[in-house]
Amino acid sequence: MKKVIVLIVMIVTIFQVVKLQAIELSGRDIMVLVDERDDGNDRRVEMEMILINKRGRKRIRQVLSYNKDYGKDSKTVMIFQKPADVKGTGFLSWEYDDNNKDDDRWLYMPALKKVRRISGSSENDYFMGSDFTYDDMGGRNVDEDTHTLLREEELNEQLCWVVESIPKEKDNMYAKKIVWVRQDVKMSVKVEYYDKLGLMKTLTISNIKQVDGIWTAHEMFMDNKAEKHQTVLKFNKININQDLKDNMFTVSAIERGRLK
Amino acid sequence: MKKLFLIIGLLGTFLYLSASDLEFNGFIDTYHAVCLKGEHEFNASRTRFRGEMFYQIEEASFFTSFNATSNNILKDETGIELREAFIEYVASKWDIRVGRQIITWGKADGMQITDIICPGDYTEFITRDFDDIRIPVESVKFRWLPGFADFEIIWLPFFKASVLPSKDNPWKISQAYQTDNETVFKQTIEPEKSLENSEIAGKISLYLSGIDLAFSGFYTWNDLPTIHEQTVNDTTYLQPEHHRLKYLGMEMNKPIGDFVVRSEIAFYQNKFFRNLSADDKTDKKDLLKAMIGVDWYPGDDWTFSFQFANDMILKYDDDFETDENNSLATLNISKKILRQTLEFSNMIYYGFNEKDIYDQIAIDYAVTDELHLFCGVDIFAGDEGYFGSYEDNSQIWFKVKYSF
Repeated sequence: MKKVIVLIVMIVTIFQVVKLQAIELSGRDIMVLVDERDDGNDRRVEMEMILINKRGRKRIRQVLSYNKDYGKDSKTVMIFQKPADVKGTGFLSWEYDDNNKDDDRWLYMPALKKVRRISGSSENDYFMGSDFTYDDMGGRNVDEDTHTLLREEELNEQLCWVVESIPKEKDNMYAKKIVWVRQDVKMSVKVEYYDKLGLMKTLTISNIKQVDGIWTAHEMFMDNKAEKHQTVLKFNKININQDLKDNMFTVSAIERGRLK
Repeated sequence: MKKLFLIIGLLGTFLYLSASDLEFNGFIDTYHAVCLKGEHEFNASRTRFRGEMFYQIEEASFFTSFNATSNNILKDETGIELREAFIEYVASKWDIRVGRQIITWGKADGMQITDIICPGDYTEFITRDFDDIRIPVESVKFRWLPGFADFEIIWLPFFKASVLPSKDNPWKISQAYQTDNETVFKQTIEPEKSLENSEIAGKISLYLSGIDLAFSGFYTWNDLPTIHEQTVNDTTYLQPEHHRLKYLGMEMNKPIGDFVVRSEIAFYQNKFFRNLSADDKTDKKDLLKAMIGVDWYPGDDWTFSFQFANDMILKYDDDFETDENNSLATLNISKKILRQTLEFSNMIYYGFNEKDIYDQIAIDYAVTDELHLFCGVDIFAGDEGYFGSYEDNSQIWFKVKYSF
């Protein structure tokens, strides 16, 4: 009988500890888990961006993207493959974890054979006519928002944390974001973006599979309800931890209009 | 007829090649401009096919591009022109590009302060796109890329002059060398093709967190000839001649919040100017050119860009025809709407010395990603000066461009 009581006490204690841990996780803790989850040291992605207007007409962009982590900072280079009028356009970005430091960005324009330094602070601009801003593409630091854990709920049969994120800066285009984070893989799977008038757009992240042992999203769908426009991002070919060379993330590399 | 067969042959070859591993791209554009004054004659009317081909074998690659142009105003421009053709090899810490190529220096838009490797094609003044104004040069460009900086050496074995409008061109420059005597314009003296007459340039570029810096030097020739005058009896002989020129320059880019500050400074040693008191009406002095500009990206697809540039002749002589200081400002405002498919832009040049203006207002509409429609007006105002002398050339234009 004693053993049974001890076992019950132990089980109850374990449940209490687990419950306490779950309660103790703050919204910020969850977003830090998302930010710091293992997504490899570098990534090569062949990306297809499909823009769909309210009449259902599609415009397609193809981009070859490379990204590498340097501690908490990272560097990204993108070369546009399609459409023809922007083929060879190169975009280089050095992104910093420090909130007080603007990202460094350069744009190579093949028609002019010229690299142009562009402002690193216009995070709210839409990227290539899509429904994604630079911030939406992942260029936002955890502490640029105030995060609050709202609840836990199942989404598509996966247990998720639901976190509210409110931008700290006053001039942000969003009033708040509601983020669904899958608990098993620590990845955002749905984001609702709100402005002062209400829901602007909804991001759905799907087709999450392991690539080289790392959980990776293969599709993102942004439904911009406010503008009746949609963007699908398909990550067709993903390679992780390829030991990408540092000299790929330089201005001299994008000046060639292609990466070798 | 021969040309037509040649164009068809080239097209066929490129279409065949595009089916193989070769990358084949290009565009077709057609541009037509009508004068706003007088009898509304065409200032320009041309259609062009641009083919671009790229092939890569491991670290080596080659690229070539050509234009097949039909020009209804400037008949000499009708034909096929090899634009670029070069071979490139890329190693981990260096690369080399050999052949006919376009090399762009500088941070300024629409101004030549440090961007002096390629001479300019001013056949239609500066109304053409910036990429059409640069003339490709035969050269060897070697870059050492150790990571902390880019070191670049360029060797140009053959001199190439800038192209100015001539003959029946609506953009022909008015005769500035009128004298009371009979005038004889002699053949331009260009440097002979020899090793001694080749040009060499070097540049160090640093792309750092929060700032870009570059330092450059160029042992070159003046792309525009100096006109030396000589009067014998009652005849004045005008002798255009290109002279050696030494250049040192510096470039800077500095992003600050939503702004990017751009700057260039260039020192030209022994540049020729027209001096009315000199025997041959020319004299050489050093020239200091400087530019500062600010780009503002406030978001919502607005871009504002302002530039101010000044040329200062050092140890100035009052008999010079050119002013000691020559100042120019530009303002470019652009806004994209409808998911970046429609762009409005307005680029204004203002010359402070002659108070003359060139204003280009343009609209670019992407019907599809491949098909763009452009239209606009070029307004020239002022009595004299670089822009004012084209006051009668103010024009309205349209362009259609299909990229593939």
